[in-house]
Amino acid sequence: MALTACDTWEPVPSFDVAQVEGFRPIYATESEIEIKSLTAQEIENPGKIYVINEYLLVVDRLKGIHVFDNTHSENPQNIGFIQIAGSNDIAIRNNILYVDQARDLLAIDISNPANVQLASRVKNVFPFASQHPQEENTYYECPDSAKGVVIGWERATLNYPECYH
Amino acid sequence: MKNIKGLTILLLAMLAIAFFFSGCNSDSEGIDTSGEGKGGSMARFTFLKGYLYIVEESSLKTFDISNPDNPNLIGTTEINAGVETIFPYENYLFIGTKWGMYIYSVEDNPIPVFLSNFQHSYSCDPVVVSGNTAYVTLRNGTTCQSGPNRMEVVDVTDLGNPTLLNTVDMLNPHGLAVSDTVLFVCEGDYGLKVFNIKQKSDPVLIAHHDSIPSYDVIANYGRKELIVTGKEGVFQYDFSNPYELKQLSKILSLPGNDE
Repeated sequence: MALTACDTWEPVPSFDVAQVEGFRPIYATESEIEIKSLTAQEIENPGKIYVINEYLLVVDRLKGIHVFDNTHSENPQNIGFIQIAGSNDIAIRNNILYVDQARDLLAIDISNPANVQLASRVKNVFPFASQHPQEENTYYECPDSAKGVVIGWERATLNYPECYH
Repeated sequence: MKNIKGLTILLLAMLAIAFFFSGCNSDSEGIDTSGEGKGGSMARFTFLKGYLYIVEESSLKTFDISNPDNPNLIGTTEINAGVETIFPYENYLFIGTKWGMYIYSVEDNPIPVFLSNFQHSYSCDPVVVSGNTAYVTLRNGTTCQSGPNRMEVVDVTDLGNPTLLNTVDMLNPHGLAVSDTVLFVCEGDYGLKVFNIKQKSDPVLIAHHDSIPSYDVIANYGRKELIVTGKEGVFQYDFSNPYELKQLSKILSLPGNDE
């Protein structure tokens, strides 16, 4: 349970807190942010869903996209996984998948899901994603670029956090 | 002798089945993802009139995708802090934010033009629209425990001046979907609710499936099928009789995961 409440809004938080609930960055290395097709995987953390023609796509939060052949909705077939570290949101039009990856928007050709191709990367469409958690009035562990690219945030108990949003 | 004959028939049948399935697998190389797909109400990406619209923390971004491989940012519309969802309807974009619902027009120009803002108390909220009625869910989130949990029914006949028609108390509403006279609302850990909206301003609860943790939902009107996503996985239902959803399939997530 979060401790912040609207009626006790604090403009200047105290940073001298030994232990507090907040967020810490989830990092990915350069090799982990590579876009690639993998064989079908089980869903770990289901997020948003998307339907196109006979296909159902399920976002695995911050990991990638599961592709199901949903021709027979009583028996959907898990046909592959597209690794996209940092993904949350998708939209598909004419075989191109638009997806977020941390700060960037990617266009990926998925006409052959077994061999997807990154078509382009628009940088900094989501400028805040790597800077601080989306939640407001919360402590967070300051990102350290030496640890990699920030692709998301997770709840954690923090010791003497130095960042607040 | 009889047994051997029976066995032979069984073997032949199994061979036929194996052949049938291998035949299916062999053409799974390419898939048809032409045309435009459809997301749920929690979506932050949508297409409208050939453009890609994306909401991020505080703005609405317009991308020209006439060259589909190379989305080209042609406009950034600042909205407010706490922008969460986008829903396209006819020539309009309905934006769910923590401060209320914003309506933009792309009727004459791909760059959205502000029409109105329907304010409510600080909360987290997606929106869906059917006819002249918008259904907005408000839930208290982690950043504001004091926010309300309810659904607001808003008349958007005059897009420049949306007016509140009704409010419905909810438990912890997330995504929602509308299909003709049926409205589905995800109640997070509390399950999935089905409302009759024959009278658009007055949703009547007809079923509460408390065993289906739900975060977002897509209604496939043509198939009369529902796809529900939640922390336990993705569940599909036949809603040809909305009073009695029939489960078609479930894709379970690995256990031990929290939303």
